[in-house]
Amino acid sequence: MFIKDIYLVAFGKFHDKRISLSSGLNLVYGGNESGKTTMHKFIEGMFFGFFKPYSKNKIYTPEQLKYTPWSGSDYKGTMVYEKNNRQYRLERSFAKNNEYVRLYDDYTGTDLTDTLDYDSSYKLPKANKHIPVNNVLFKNTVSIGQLSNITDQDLVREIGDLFVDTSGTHSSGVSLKDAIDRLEKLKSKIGTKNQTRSPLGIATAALKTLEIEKSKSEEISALNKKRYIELRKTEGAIARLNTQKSQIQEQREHSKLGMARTKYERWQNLLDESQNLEQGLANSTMIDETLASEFDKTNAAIDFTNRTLVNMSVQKEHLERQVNSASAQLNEINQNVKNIPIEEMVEDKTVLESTIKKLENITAERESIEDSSIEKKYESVRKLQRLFSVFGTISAMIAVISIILHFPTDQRNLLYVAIGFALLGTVLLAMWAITNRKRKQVEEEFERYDTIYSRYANMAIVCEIDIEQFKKKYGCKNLTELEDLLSNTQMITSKIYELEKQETVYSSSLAELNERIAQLNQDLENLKTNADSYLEKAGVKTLEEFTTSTLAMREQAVFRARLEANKEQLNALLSGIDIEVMESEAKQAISLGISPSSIESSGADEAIDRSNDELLQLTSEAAALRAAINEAESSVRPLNEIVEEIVQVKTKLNDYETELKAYSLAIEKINSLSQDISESFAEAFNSYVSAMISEITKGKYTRVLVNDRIQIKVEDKELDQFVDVSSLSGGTIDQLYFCVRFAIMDLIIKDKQIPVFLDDCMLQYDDARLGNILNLICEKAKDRQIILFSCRNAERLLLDSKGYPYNFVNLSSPQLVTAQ
Amino acid sequence: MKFIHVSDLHLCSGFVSTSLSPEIADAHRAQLWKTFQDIIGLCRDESVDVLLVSGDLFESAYSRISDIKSISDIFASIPDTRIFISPGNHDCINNSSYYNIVQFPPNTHVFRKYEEVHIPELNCSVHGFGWDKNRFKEMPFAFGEIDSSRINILCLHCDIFTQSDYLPINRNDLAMVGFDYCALGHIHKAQQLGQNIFYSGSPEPLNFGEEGQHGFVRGTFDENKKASLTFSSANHREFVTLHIKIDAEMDMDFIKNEILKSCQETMSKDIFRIIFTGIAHPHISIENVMLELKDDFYSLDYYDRTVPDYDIKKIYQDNKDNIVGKFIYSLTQDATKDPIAYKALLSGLEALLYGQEDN
Repeated sequence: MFIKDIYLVAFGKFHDKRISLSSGLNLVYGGNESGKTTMHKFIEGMFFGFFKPYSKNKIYTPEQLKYTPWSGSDYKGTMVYEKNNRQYRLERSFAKNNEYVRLYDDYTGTDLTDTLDYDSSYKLPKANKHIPVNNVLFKNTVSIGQLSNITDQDLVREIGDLFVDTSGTHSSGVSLKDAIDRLEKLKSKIGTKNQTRSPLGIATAALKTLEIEKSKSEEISALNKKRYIELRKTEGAIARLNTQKSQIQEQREHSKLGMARTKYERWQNLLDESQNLEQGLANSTMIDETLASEFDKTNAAIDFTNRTLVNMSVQKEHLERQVNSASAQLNEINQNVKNIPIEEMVEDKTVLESTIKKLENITAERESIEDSSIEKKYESVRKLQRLFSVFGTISAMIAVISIILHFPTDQRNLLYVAIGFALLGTVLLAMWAITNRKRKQVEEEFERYDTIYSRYANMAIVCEIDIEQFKKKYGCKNLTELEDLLSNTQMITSKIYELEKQETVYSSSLAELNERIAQLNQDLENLKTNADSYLEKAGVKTLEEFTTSTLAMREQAVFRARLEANKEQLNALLSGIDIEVMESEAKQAISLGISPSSIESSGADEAIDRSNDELLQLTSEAAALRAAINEAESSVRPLNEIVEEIVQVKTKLNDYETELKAYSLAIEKINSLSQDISESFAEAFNSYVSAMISEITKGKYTRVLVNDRIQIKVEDKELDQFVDVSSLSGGTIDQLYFCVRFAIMDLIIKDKQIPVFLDDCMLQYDDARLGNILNLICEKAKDRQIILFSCRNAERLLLDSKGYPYNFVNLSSPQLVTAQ
Repeated sequence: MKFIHVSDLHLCSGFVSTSLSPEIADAHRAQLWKTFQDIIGLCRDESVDVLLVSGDLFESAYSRISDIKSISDIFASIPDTRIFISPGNHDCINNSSYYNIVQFPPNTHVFRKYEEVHIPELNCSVHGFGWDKNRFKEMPFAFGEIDSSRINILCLHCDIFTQSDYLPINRNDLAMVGFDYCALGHIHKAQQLGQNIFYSGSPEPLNFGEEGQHGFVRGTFDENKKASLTFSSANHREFVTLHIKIDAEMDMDFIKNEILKSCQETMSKDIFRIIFTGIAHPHISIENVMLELKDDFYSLDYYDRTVPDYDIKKIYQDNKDNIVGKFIYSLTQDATKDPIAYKALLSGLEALLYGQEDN
């Protein structure tokens, strides 16, 4: 495909400008600002418009505005191009409010616009139907821009980059290094957790700080809960203590009022008493003091004597009781022992004991000899004897009878019977005789036994009779009672002795006492006589009159003394006390029903003091707890604020981490894909470039290698070794550069029919190098359209000198330039 | 008998999902307290007999002793109003609960197990239950028989809508018990579910998504137990979400004006969030737009959910054989599910194409 004509109806500085181009090399000449770039951009704009590539929206690039016609007229143009022997006319308007794209068959005029694909983003047909590149590739691949001010080394580096980028991307204009650098920069902008000044580091540190702050706040919250529980307990204790203290104070107050009432009532009593005393003093009469004194003494002596007599009477009664008691006990004892002399009792006791002992011995002996078998034996022998006797008799009788009967009957049987029974009778008789002798022996034995046994029995009977006599003597029902009675003889003896002694002493004391009583009675009589004489002397008739007068006199002294005492008491009572206050307190006590009290609640003050001390302590503790709670709360921010901030920081961290992961993933993918592409594409690319450079250098350099350190080496066939490309001549480097560029175009785009634009890309070359490059370019121009923009004449001159065919476009000329 | 039903005050709340600035968050927390005190003031002024708090009175995770003491003091300021609290999942009454630590005044009853509290002078029984943990997959108690001669009120924090972990309750079962009023809590949006079943909702919104009116329920019972109920609005500000789709026709001024037009009436009072969608335009800096508008708003936040202006399909078509196309291919599938892959795709493309666009 090649562009034949372009018609800039109104585009940038151009207005109604037509330019014809040819296939092959086109040299577009123009000075600075002549419009070379404008023309280049026009072609680009005709195919692609001025839109941001790959955008969903129609977004204009700056060129759209930049190339708005200066003349202010329609912003449009036409381009005619040929592809596969067909000629197409592309019309386009760039004006925002009147954009269109139209394609016609230039031969037939057929509107082919509908055959174009529609771009839904730009809302226009796609005009690049016949040029198999997109805008980006067009700009980066088929356009080679200026290489001004670039050194050979820069060029080598550029070649290396191109190699790497193209090998790794299978594209041009995509710089792997730049892409990865960009992503790495984005990553480094975020930073890492350890980079404390990076956003991620700052957020990480902030989160850590916030987590610590949160922990602290939570700790304080938990601690404050405990403190508050403690505070409530303390406040409870304070309340209880205050109640207790109030109670004590109330008690103390009551006690005080009670005391006041007591004092008040005492004061009242003292006053009343004093009044009575004074009244008494007024009523009293005098009496002779000496007489009264004597009378008093006598009276006192009478009283004393009377009291003594009373005491003595009591003593006498007591002694009489003692004597009577001793006598009674003696009588009782005597009665108990039946009036038997104690000596006799002692002797009887001894006899009784020996009798009992004897009886025991007899009984023991009798029991030891007791043998009932003898009697049984005797009886059995007698029975046996009787048996033998009876049966023997019977047998004899039978024998006799049998004989008697035999004789008349002459029966032998009877004879035999008689004989038999006679024999039997004889035997039995013999047995009887034996038994009889035996019986006699047994009988003798029995008699002997019986005699001894009977003697013992008789002895026992005698003892028992003696014992019975003692029992009867002492009136005891049984032997045990008798033994008890007789065994107490010693005690009874002592008792009797003691009682007799007591009786004697008491009787003696009683006799003395009676004497004294008699004496005192006598003294009393004397005293009474004296008292009567005093009465007579005092001129009174009765004791009451005397007493009254004496008392009256005495009373005066007493009254006076008591009055003085009362005064002293009153003074003491009222010392330091306001009577009105005391009266008021007393009345208050009465109204409250508080009883008079003489007990000071001295303990209350101490208790109150203790309570106060304790209250002070507890209040202080409570205040400290409150302060601690408040201070703790103030020392940290509220947890809700901290948590809010944590969430925001975590969100930020999450965003950073997501971004980092995304960038890392992108880098990883790009590297991995680049590796894959490189493995599959690099060889082909190297081969292509190698073939091209070999062709261009006519086999001088055959192979190009780029290692992973982006070192480019070229095989020098002559030297038969690889040389570093930087060691090559500038011209060779240039050639290599353009080879690479063309190789990229051919391998990526694959369609060699795409026009190539060289936009002032050889400005820095001298003629020699320029010539070199032109050779390559002209070679390439044989099978593709190349549009070479230049502001120098050097290219033209060189082309002319080499005789290379080319189409010359002079943008400075206002005329339409046709192809040569 | 007069009563007020309120729930989900969430005093001392942390606004963790709202991305409010610290100042606005603090101001909103203060507003929650003010609204709470306004309701208490209403109880005092109108001699309300019963105040029902059906859960989440405060956020126990974020509250301090001084906060709970303040609540206690505020309750104590209306000694003639009987206050019933059924703790919910955010203020559950476990061992370390503030309900067990701070003493509440005598007019306040905090429910623990399911129980009925009778108020003879009002001929009213309040039934309630206090959560002792923050999840209940099923009802932990059964409703008992009620004495229909009294006014029976249920005060409960529960979920009547879904079989969730927040004490799910069957609406029909609840209706059959025969309560004269059900004061429910947990759902922040006020709604009526039956004749006498109400969620009062939170008196102030707590998050974007809780938009609309917020308040509490006021009611009276006459001698015949007939209820008269009204919803009273209480919130002082709202959370408002605005969606703006960017397209190529817009410029920054246009966007600014669109925002101002939508928000003009309440921008000085409400809390706004703008969600930008559409295609990012290189000439539009959303960040700058927001910076310019920031000072006009009480609170303004935004999410930039625009996508870069890349026609990935087109890019892929044009670059199938090279690294760009292969890169797109390697990540496209994952990018639909994985945000990291999506971000990697966009950033990688931008890096690869960056040089190209400028050449």
